[in-house]
Amino acid sequence: MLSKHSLNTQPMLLISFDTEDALLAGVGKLRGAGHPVIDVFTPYPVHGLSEALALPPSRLPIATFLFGLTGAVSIWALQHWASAVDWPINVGGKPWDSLPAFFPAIFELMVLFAGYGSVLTLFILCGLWFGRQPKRVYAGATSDRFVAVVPAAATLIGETDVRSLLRDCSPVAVTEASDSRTGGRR
Amino acid sequence: MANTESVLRLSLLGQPKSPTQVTEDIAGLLEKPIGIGWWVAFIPAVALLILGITTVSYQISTGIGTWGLNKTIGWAFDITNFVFWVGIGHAGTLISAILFLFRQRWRTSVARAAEAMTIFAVMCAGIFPIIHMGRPWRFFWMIPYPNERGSLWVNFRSPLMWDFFAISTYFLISLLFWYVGLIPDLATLRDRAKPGLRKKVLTFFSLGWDGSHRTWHRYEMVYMLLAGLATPLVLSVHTIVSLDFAAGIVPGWHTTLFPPYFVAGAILSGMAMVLCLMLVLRKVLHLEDYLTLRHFDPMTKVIIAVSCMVGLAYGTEFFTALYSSSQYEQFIFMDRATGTLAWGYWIMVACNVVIPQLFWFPQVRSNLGAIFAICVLINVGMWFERFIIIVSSLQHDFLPSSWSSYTPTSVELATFAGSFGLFFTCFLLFIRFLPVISIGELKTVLTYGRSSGQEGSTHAE
Repeated sequence: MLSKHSLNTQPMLLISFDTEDALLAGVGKLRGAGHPVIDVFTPYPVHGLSEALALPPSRLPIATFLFGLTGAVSIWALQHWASAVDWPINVGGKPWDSLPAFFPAIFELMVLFAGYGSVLTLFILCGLWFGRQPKRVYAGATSDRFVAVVPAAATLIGETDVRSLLRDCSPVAVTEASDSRTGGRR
Repeated sequence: MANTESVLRLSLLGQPKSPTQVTEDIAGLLEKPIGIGWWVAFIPAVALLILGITTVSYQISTGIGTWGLNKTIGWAFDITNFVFWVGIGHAGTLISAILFLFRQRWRTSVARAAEAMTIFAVMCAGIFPIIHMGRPWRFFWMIPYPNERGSLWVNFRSPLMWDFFAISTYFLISLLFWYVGLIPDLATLRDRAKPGLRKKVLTFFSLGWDGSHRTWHRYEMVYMLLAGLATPLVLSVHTIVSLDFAAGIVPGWHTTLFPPYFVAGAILSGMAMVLCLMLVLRKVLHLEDYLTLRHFDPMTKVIIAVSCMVGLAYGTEFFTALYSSSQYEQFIFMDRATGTLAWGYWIMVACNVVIPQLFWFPQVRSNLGAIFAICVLINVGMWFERFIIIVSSLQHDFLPSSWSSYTPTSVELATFAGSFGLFFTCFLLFIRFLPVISIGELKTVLTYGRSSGQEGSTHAE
């Protein structure tokens, strides 16, 4: 199966639409005709597109759960060890290991770890990091264009084939792009 | 292009916009020279900030004798202002997280500025407990780290310690939530920016965002997870703030009502502050098409609801005191309503419970001047609520021989004014350099280019 990484190595057809409806119809047509749509670059999250591209549901909640668990267990362990083992102090006659009183910190650290952990996982999975340049700038994709990317070589289709296939969806532009990148390092 | 407007979606905006127009309008605000109005607001804000820095430096170098505290009243202005600012922060998270989970589409226009308000309000709040320590340079002693004193650990059973965890987590998670929401917009600005320093900075912070749907797919999941985490967080923060009081045995504080009472109060004050800021932004930045009555109306309705909850809490406190047959409890509530601070108590009741009832009238809800005036009064009332809770309980405690009274000194007043300086300086810098409305998120609720009548939510579906 083609992955996101093939974006860098193959000649591509970039098909731009100017409305969400046209994009969804176009992606449906392309996939229906057997052309793999590798990715779509959009100014906002288009609902229904994940289904149209058959993307599996994200497994990120697993990472969130594990990070949250790590935060909760760590601060519980620290509180237990500090208050009941390392230096027990009698505070108002409460037991050394006062679990109910430890819950606020357990909850807060769970949220803190789960939140930062999820975002860190997102950054790593999606290749986002401070100072990075976008691999390629798709004209208007961060403002008002929806750009579907189809590998030209894999299916041996050209601009004219696509234009006739997508006649009803009125793409605003169909361009061929080689693997040359506009952005720099990655 | 004809037929690009959905007839089935009711527009949230003053007039229908296309994604192109949204980008032009919101990003365009940052690309033209700022008007004189911004400077008229910014210069006094910076002046207040400088006043605040000066007085804080003075009171730290001189000592906390510069405050009006005494042996009986050991907490007054600092803690009042701390609770006031934390409360204001809560509406930002309510709008960005809780209303997100409830799929309230109108939140898209207000969420960004409300989140910014949260961050700056929590910064202002954080300053007060730190200067209240008297020796703020030992702030790091709150952090449980192995130290050369034993190790002597912090007391994890103390609500003040819980506060440290709650407020710092709240600040960090709010900042993260705000930044994650900003990334797609920073990329939009980056792609429009001319080469230069601004473009370099935007490139650095936009993380190489290219609008890939594979990224959006995961991004939406993370955004929803963050909203799900922030929702119980915001409730926990003001609950823990209220436990600072409720865990003490002082009459008027020692009550299980405090957590819901404080959370409702926080949302009331925060919503009022969001409305004040939004009404000003709408006027100054000419966002009339983006902030309409369809945004203000639900917010005023939230105010009616929480105002009634706060009113119920005021009544319940009296009933509980009566029912408790504790003469100290009964005395303190009678004293609040009729004693030396009765003027403050009735300001609080009038501003928080009586005046917001005007929002039942549709004419008031659609009069922006009236909304602004009522919201300013709610902020005054909510400040008095915290002042009354703290000072009236402390000044007349169990032993009449130790009764006292409290008046803030000029140093304390200047510190409070300085916190407004910090808040408005940060907020004005925010509207100068970052998009005040989430460009990407707003596009998800446009009627443009959608034939399906499905009610869109904000991000995740």
